[in-house]
Amino acid sequence: MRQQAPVWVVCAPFPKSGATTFTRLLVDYYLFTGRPVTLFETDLHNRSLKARFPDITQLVDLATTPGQIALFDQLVQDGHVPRIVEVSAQAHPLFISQARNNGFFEETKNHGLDPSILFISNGTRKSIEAGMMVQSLWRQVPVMPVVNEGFVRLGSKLNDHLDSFPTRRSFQVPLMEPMLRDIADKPRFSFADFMRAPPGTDTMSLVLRADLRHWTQRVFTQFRAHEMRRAFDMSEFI
Amino acid sequence: MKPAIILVGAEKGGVGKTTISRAMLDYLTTKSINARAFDTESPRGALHRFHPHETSIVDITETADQMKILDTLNDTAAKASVIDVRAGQMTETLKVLRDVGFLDAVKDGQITFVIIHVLGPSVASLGEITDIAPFVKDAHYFLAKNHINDTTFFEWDPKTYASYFGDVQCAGEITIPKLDEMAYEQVELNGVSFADFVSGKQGSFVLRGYVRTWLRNVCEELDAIGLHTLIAPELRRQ
Repeated sequence: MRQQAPVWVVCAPFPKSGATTFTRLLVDYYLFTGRPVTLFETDLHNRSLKARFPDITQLVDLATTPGQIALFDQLVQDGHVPRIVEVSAQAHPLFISQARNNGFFEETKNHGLDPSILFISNGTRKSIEAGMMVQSLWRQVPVMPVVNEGFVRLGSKLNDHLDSFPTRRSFQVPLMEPMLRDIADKPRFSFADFMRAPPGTDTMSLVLRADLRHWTQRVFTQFRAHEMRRAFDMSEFI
Repeated sequence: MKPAIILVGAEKGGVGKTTISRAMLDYLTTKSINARAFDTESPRGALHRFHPHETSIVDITETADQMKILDTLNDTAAKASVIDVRAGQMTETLKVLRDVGFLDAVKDGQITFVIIHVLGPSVASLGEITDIAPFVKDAHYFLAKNHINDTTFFEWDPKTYASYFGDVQCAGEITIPKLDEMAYEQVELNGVSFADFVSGKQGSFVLRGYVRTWLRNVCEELDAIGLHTLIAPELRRQ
């Protein structure tokens, strides 16, 4: 099986839907598994990913041609390092129009890349329509909805909402207890470092530690499961 | 198929005549219409730089060069001849074509004559229409509004605009969209045709995307005026 570098496009057409947290978790998943990753951040005002991952994050301004070159030209480079792009609500229309015009997703297959679009839903009907629109533009690319329950409270309607998207696969970021969120929101906190650290290396309560590990594992397991499914999908001999 | 001459010109300089001529040659190639070009920027031709194999540099005021263009119309494999008229020579060139009997041949239906009159944004540009009116009666005369250099055409008062068309029958208008500056500059630096730049693997992926989209839009504009069927009527039947 030919090894393909994943390209994760985290699309957030609607603001305050938890895209940055999800992107942060995805980056931390790669760092936790000891793999390098390249990250692109399109939100020039917030820059929260750049603040958390200064060494691997590139800020790109999709409103300018140099910014577009900095993003797309690097995304389509040959290589095995996974690439993650967080497309903010403000940059979303620009990204869609650019990718349509320059044929980005079509080009990825010429460079041994495996693109996926992670569509951050805000739980509304408009979100489903926007997700379907993106899928209709690039039928060959998996578009998977993501619901971050810390931002979108759907309760018992969650599964129905996810089932409305034209894909079988989805991601859920579970609701985080406020005390855990206080820990996770600290500027120097890293999910990757936390998961790697042996017990007793910090002053965190054992209960909180167990809860946070459990919460993080629920998310990381989804990433791992997705990777394994993609590997099966691309396998020549199964 | 009878031979066709496509004259791309304007009295004013810097309105993008050569850019349109270059796009025209790419368009004819996509339509499988064998074409040649004449660059009247003698002795150094701008068009020749980008299409060296199809382009000859000529001085339209010289009899030898007039023969080179007109006496070979029926002998050459090229069914369309694009003439990129240097700034300030539009009326002069049309006078020459009248004096050598070319316009009579057009009137008799022996040759298809297409004029692409490239306009700048100023009203002075409209004044050119009156100057060339006596020569375009039997031609397929099109106006091209070229947005490549950030020009706007808003300052034209509709009444003033209409008043310039008293003596001339315009077959249609072409709007040439603006091409991203960096993309345009990159093609200039490479010194290749737009089509070759798009299909090449060198240079920025984003800039290639810009040129591909722009060229597609220009081709759609030329399709909309039915240019290919004017030159090769059999294409209409296919």
